Amino acid sequence: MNTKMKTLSLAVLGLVGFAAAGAAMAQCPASLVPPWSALNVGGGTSAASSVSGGYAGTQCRLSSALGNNGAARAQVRDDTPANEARYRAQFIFDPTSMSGTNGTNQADIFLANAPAAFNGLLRLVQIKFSGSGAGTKRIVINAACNNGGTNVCSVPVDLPVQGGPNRIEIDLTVGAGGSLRYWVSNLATSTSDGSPTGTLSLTGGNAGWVGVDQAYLGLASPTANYRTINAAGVGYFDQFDSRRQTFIGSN
Amino acid sequence: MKKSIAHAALLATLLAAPAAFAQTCAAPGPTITGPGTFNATCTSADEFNSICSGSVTAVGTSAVYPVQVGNPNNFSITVTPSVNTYDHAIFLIGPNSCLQTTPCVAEDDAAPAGQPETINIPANTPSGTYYLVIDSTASAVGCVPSSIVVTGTVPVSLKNFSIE
Repeated sequence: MNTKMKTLSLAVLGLVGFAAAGAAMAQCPASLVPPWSALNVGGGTSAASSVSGGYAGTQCRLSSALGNNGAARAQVRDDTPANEARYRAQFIFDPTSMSGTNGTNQADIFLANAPAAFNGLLRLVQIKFSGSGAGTKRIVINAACNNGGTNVCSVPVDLPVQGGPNRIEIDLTVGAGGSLRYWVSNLATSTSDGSPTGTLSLTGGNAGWVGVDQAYLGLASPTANYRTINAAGVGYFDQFDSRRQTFIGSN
Repeated sequence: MKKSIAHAALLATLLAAPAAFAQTCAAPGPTITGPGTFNATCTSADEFNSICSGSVTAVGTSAVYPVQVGNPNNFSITVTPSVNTYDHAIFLIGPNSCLQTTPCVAEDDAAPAGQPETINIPANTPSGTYYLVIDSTASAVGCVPSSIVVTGTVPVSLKNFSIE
């Protein structure tokens, strides 16, 4: 089964702008909606927009920057998922202009939410950018799990490309035996379905969260240290793709 | 003609002992229906792991107060913690819904610990019941007693009107 739920590639936006403006003056679209369901920007001087410099041959990418506010967000939202019990998603993330100093220097970069909170938790998957004590840029993948405690199972992954684009993909299965596989790779490196970077064990499963009903891409919820260290930081995103079944990979 | 707008009664309601309320969505604190100042306590509930349609992470314990908004309206809410080490984040969510998936109308978390946070609600926000959520994005440490100051036009509700 090759069910492609939705492709919200910023490459598509780039091609639209390219067609409108001509090859010599490629122009990215002023609005991100559509193809995204909504723009979610708030908190200080936060901003999200389509800018030139897309990856892997695309014209445009998403630029996301946060204001000095703990509730800051600069995201795009996808309402396409409908309680998806199997959810694969992939995007490119470039943290070149962000600092990896300090382990509590953190901000969300991707969210996959359930239709309603279970055990007080709405997020089925939360991927955060994080610094580290050694200054290495990494992501922290949090997934809902009914473990009788925090209800969050977590794994940190160092970004293979500290100053350029990384490809991040997840494969979430929701149920009593729920699981989360993840791929975090250099954009230039091929990936395969059978060789994930790792698998996050979801103790107690994740059936109570039903399925993915909404997704956000972009920076949000900066910690105080993020706001200090990355006051001028910009995160770049591109080529978001989500599906029910088939591996997305390196195209 | 006698027109009575029960502003004093409103403030008396707000100043009533909040201990009778759990300050959760299901059992919120006293309803705010007009301008005034009152003191908020705080429960140990961490009802909002996320807020603003699930897009913002809120890690602290929370306190919830309904805000009854009429029309026209033009108001702001300032919340100041009584402990200078506590870093509040405040959100107005709604209308007529108090869930992690409920949209935010306004929010603020710009000030450092111990300092007031203020939300300025867009003028003529649609009528309805909104919810002021006092939380934190900085720490899971329990929230603390706070001062809530509401200024502007919410509006004050009309309690009695008669023609003699």
